[in-house]
Amino acid sequence: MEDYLEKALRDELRIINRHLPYRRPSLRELMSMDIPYIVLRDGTTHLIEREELELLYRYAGDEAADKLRIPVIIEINPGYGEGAAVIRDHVAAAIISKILGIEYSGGELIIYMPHITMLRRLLRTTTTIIFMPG
Amino acid sequence: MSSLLRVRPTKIELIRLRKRLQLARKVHRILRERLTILVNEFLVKIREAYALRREVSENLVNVYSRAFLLYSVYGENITRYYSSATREKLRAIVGLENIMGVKTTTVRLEKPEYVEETLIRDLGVFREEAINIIRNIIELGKTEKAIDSLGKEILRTKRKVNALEYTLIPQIWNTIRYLRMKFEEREREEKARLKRVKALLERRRGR
Repeated sequence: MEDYLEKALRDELRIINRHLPYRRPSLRELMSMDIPYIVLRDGTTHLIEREELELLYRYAGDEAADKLRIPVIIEINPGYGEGAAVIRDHVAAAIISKILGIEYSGGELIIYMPHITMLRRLLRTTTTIIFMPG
Repeated sequence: MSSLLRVRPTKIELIRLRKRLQLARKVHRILRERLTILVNEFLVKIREAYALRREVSENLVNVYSRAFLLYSVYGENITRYYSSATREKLRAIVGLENIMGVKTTTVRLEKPEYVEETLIRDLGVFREEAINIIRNIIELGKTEKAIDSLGKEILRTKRKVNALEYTLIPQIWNTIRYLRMKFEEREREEKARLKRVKALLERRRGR
């Protein structure tokens, strides 16, 4: 019975991030699609709102549109403390800090629960949260 | 349920249990974080649905009263023509949206590129209002579906978090404590036995 338990716990860790995409297309690539979507690791397609892409484009500008990968990954890592998350992608971090109106000095961007809630409200389909076991 | 796991009292088992405890704590921490975020999303959706429902209820009264007025002034044919044109020109895209592993149906309404001009101003306003109300109803349906899916996932995750917090982790912890006590007791017994053997040997040598 105990082995089953251990297997179940390991499975839980395995499936917790199955909503991540196979490939993260650029903002420009998605904007050129008739119906913007991405394919996730569990095999499903995830539709992306065009309004959110336009909002990101407004903040990113023409130059960063090729560099910005969608969805923006928000990493929840217990190493940063409870309720804290990190955006590792430099391009995304700069744009997100502009959207949230917080200071950004290069490198990774650490955000907290109120920021996550705000970000998810504004960019529901263009952001995704991953959980790191730590 | 027993507060102890049925295991053999061996050192290997103790090491295995320690590893299992570490894993269980890790999973518990992640699931708790996930639960917090799911609840946040759920609350956002609830607020959205509440605002949308209010808007739909208010607008429905206006649209219906305008429709009745137009019907009585311009007759059945014209009213029906414009209301049917409203439906035909709209395009709805149905797909899936994945909110942290929770799949919900999403519908996007695409605005028609060309909308036939109406000669009668009231009919144009009616058509605009009708398009808006269809859009709001679709948004409301989408939000309520998301609430339903998120609610189910929250329940599932909460059950897992509680099972880990109140059953599994205490059980493993208690078993580890029990095994430690057992080993300490064994060690004490061993020491006492050794002392006794030593005393016996010394006594024999003394003879």
